[in-house]
Amino acid sequence: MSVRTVALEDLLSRRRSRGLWVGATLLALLFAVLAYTYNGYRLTPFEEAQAVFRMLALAVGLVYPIAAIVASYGAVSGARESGGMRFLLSLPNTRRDVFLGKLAGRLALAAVAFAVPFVAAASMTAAIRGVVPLGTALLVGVLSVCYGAVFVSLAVSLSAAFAEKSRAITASIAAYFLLVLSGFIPFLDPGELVRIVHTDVLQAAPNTALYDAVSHLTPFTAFRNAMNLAFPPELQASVFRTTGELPAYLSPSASLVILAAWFVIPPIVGYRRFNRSDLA
Amino acid sequence: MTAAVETRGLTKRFGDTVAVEDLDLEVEEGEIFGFLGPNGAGKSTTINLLLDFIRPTAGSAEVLGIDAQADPQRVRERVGVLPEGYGFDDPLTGREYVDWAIDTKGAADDPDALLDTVGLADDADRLARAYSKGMQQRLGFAMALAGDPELLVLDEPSTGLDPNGIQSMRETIRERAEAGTTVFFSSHILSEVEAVCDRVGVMNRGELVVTDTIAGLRESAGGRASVHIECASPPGELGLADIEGVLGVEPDGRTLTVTCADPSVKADAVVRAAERTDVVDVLSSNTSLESLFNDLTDGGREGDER
Repeated sequence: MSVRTVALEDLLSRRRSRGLWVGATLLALLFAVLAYTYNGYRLTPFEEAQAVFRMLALAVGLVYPIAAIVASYGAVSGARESGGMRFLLSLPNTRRDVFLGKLAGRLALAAVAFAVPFVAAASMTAAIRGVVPLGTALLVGVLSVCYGAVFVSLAVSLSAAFAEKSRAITASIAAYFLLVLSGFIPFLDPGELVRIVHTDVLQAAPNTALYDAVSHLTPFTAFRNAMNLAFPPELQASVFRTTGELPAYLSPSASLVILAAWFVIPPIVGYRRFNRSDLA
Repeated sequence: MTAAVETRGLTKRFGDTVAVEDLDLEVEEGEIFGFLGPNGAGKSTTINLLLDFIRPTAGSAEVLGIDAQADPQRVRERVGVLPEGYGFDDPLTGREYVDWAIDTKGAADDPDALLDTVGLADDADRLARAYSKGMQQRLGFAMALAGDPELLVLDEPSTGLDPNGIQSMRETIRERAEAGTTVFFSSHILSEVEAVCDRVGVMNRGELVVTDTIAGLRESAGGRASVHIECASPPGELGLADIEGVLGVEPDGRTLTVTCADPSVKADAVVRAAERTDVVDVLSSNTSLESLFNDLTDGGREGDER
């Protein structure tokens, strides 16, 4: 199994990266500070603790993708650029081993770096509120790690798809705008774009189900919707235009499927491009 | 006996540039084969094709009887490679890099023994990326030796090495070859290839122009020799071309380079030159192989190796 040796070499190297330690520490500190300063209005300590995790989920939605991209965009393209790839491929590794090994290494790293902030936040919550909403904290934490993993997978895939780090980071930033910030900026929201074309250009009657289905395709929206699994009804966010009973394809479980697709499909595409390329 | 390396019609184009053209190369098992040519001749491209770093435009390559494109992993299991253009980009020590190579090859070598072989025993615990170029080259060589491969593929192995380093690498190569390892190495320096190789293939502009033993090459170079005559003032041609046995006269500043069909003609050329101008110095070397190499490769050309 040379996926293992590729991943272990990558992990050993990353562990020595000071930037990574600094970044991971800052993330944990940020979450601890957020948990410390959060102040719920007229809430019991338990409700407030739950609300802390709801706020953290929002921070995760924006910050984890950036952290994942920064930690992963150079995984393959960097080795190509600096010549480490020559050694990787001189040893008995297939290109698939190299790709999967790098992916596994960065995922392992991300799993730790993305879980620790939740441990920090839960500890802080326990310390100052005397209570931890264990189920909520656990679900939010696990979903957040998965959400971060989606972006690690995406960034490693883009890293493999491009020969240079500069192009890999450009593509990753573009992906961040389209897949994350589109949840905030209406003119980037694919559902909103479809609505404009649909109603203004095609002069059709509004169809919110269609727009919601399209908006739901971004990992950010899927993550926000999936988050509702972790909270009682009064703390759930209404993510879609559709009101009342949501159709099955907009349910939080459907969001999990969309996140899984984002985890799986980019590596397939990225690897195929990598496998076809000249690597010297 | 199967060939250690065999290519048929191997061709690689980068856009409009032909890097390797219709290459039929055969390296026999157990020999030390020197792959010679100027920068940009297509040596590294060929090696990159053999290792499936890049994919051929046409033709095929087999290494140890294995199709290089179909099953690169099996090739890499049995081959030790010192690639060109590598980088020790991860923050690992020399020993950790060697460990990694041993581990990936599933070998049982002692990393310290390998490091000692290449003269890095004292620097094993330093970060490889802080090594000098020559030390990195040694480390790359140690990684290539891991797992006692059947074939060593070394791309410009002497790059950055000091004379001692070159000498000890040469000895290691000879030892491994005596133990049955096939060695395929590229170089743009004739003397280096001459010193260790059984056979030589000369590349130029993407084509293999000759494959022969060193002795065979010497023979085809014939008794050809050249003499450099340095004059007090720019001499012009001095009518040396009229001497029987003189193949060419090339003035370059104050120096005349005279190529002769036979070493004995050199004296005639020098005498004639001394009659007609003020000769300051005469440099005569047994450069027959070198001039053959220069002829084969159009005197080399500028440009980067691909």
